[in-house]
Amino acid sequence: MTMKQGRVNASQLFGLGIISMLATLLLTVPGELLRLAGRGAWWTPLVAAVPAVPFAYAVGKRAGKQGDAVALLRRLLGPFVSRVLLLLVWLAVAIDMAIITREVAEGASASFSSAIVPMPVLVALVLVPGMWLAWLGPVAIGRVATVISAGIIVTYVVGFLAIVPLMHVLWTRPVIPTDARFLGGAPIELSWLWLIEPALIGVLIMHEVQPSARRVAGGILAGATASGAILLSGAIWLVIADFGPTRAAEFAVPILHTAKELPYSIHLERIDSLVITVELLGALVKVGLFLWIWARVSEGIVRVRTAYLLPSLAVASGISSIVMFANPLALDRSIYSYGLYILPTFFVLMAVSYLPSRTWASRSPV
Amino acid sequence: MDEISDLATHCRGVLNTIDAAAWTGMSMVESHEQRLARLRRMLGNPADLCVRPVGSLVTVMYLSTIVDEAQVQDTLVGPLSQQFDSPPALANRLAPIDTYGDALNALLSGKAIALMRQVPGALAANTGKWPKRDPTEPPAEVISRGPHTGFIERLDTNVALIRMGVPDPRLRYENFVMASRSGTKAGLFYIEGLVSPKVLQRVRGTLNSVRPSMVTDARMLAQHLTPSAHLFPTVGSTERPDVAYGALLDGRVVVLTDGSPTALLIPQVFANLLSVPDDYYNRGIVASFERAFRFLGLLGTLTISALYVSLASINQELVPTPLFLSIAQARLGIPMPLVLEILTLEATIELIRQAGLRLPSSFGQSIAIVGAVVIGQSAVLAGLLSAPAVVVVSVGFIMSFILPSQATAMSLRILRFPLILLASAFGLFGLVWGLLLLFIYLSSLESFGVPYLSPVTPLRLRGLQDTIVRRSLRKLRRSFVARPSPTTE
Repeated sequence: MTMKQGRVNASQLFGLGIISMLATLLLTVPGELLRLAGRGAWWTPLVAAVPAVPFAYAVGKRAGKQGDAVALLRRLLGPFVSRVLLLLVWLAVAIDMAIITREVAEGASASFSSAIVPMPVLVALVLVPGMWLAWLGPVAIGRVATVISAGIIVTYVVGFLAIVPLMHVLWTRPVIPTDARFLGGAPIELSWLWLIEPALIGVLIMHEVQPSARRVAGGILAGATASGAILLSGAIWLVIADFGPTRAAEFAVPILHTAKELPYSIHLERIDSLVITVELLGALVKVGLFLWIWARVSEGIVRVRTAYLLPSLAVASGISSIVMFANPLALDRSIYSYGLYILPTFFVLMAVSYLPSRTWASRSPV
Repeated sequence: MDEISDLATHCRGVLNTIDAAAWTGMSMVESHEQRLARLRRMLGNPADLCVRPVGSLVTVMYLSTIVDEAQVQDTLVGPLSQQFDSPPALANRLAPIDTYGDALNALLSGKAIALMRQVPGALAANTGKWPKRDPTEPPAEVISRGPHTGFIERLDTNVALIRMGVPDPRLRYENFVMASRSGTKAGLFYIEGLVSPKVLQRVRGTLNSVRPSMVTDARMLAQHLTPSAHLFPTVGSTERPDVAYGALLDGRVVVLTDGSPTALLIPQVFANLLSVPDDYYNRGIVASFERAFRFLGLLGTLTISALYVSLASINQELVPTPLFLSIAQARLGIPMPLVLEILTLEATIELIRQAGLRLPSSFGQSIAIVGAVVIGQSAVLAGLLSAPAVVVVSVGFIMSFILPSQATAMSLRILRFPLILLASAFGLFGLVWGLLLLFIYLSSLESFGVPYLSPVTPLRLRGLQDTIVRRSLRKLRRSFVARPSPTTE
């Protein structure tokens, strides 16, 4: 048994971008997001897309049909160095998987399941569809992601329309805080967080699938833009829904003061369940996507049959999510730091993508 | 003695079978009498086998129940008794046969064969007379507007109906004989230029490779064409010629089998399940409105019971207070948990449905009344079931009949049970989880290489003009659904 390979198109990549970039943050940390990012939150995915898009474009154009990022690193850097880099990626994805699994399980429990369900059961429920998706491969994940991301967009458009009469266009401008934050006012931690996911998806899926480099880059950029727009309405919506208009207004977000004036804000909590339903679906799909990425990276490090690999990774993810993040503080510490493990690989790929064509040609197996 | 007699009969039977099997591929080069005797034996000397000598040189053989004797007289006996005076005219009507296998097939397909002394082989004439009915509208696919014709059990009549509806020079018709004991003939139709070559190749390959033991209806063949594990139909079927025309124009392949009024439509995607012929005889806006309700019916029948279980038992905070109070009041005194109540009702309704199907229509109505009024109302009055539960399950059941494809409705009814269990265990999360698994399953399905959820995912914008919303016929371009999964989606 091997994981199914396949090819995704630009719209599916767009859907994957939205799901991977939004699902975790919207489901798990809306309050945290606003606390950290404030009015700059919506700007953050676009800031992350600034390096991610040319990176994906350059690597995609150069790599051509020479395999995915795992094969590419091995070919260019040799088995040892590539394994070291992949090990760092592996570590980042492993932590990410544990965080996602834990947060989705907790989110599902808090939002939907009043019955007392043990955490291991919830974690298993989160991992089962993910494992199935990972086994079905990127095409099935892409197909599911397209529809669910469309659902997310529609849901947030409705949410946005509900609050837009009370908004002012100037509120959407990014704010550069006085304490000299990173690019364009987006908080540095969140920028890294956003950066990882489009880069990972772009590189891994792009080389798996071989659409044109322009489309991959376009897909990521479009995903980032949509994510920003959705975040603008979604974060406000969720905070109002989660904390109530009065408490939400106490956050350091001037825009939320207007929420008190919303005549229908009392209904938001109920409608919020529908919103969370769509997000939950997105988060479950994201688990599948990242499990697939994790398995691909693992295959690049050690040769293991997929039949053993996927269940092992799922079990490892389940156990680590239960053990590592039983303490919420541990999760808070990890969520903004694990992405750093992936940066060396990112920069190496970025650098090699600008090597002269001859270098690529001479190393091509063809 | 009896045992010995039985053994002898058995051995003769075995020998005959071996003999028949061995001789079917052999040439008919023996003497006249030997050929007659062997054919008789291979057929088991049936009561309707008619062997008529025509003069001293020729013997005509046929199965009297499936041939038109007047035609036998006109086509074979008459001309042959005139001592072969017009060989060219005869040659036009008769087909030569070389082997015993072909001779058997000819006899079983309503042909009469003529064996001649000192001439090897035989001659066959098409003299079949099969029971036949008029191409009336199929009762399972009645429409309010549009043509009221239907396929019948004769392949040649059905071919004529297709040719009548699609007078296109690019219409192609290929014949297959199923490698089954019944040796059923099948016809494969498609329009060249509209059909995807990949799909066509797959269909041909599958038809050539399947080895059904018996095909008495096209739907039996459909089960051989798709993996048995598929919960949703990946091969469509219809008994209406106009639906088959539409399918051909959509670039799909139509398969007809002899003896069955059902046409198989390949490939079949999820969007096809929501479509009925009336959609194309009504204005676009009306068709779209009806389709939207069909889609809601699909979602409703799948989820309404599970949603009720999760909202009434676990996620009460999502229900408006007055509604929740009225549900709680209605459930006072019900001696079983909500999930058990819903499952009992679902099972009862399923039993009533099946009972109604097996009975004549007059009894069927009585069963419906007994089921709906007597059992339902009595159970509520007796305090065994609550009124909201009866309403919810009944609405779900009625919604399942909105769907044009009863095969799909059945699949959805099956899926309701696990969803109810999930909702009772994990609330709304369990329901969402179950729906996600179903969606993943549907996303992974393909029908002869065409993604099942196409054109929604993978997204094909042109295809969306005839899914839930049906565009005006003037602007509707056909031939967009039946495309295989491309190398790059």
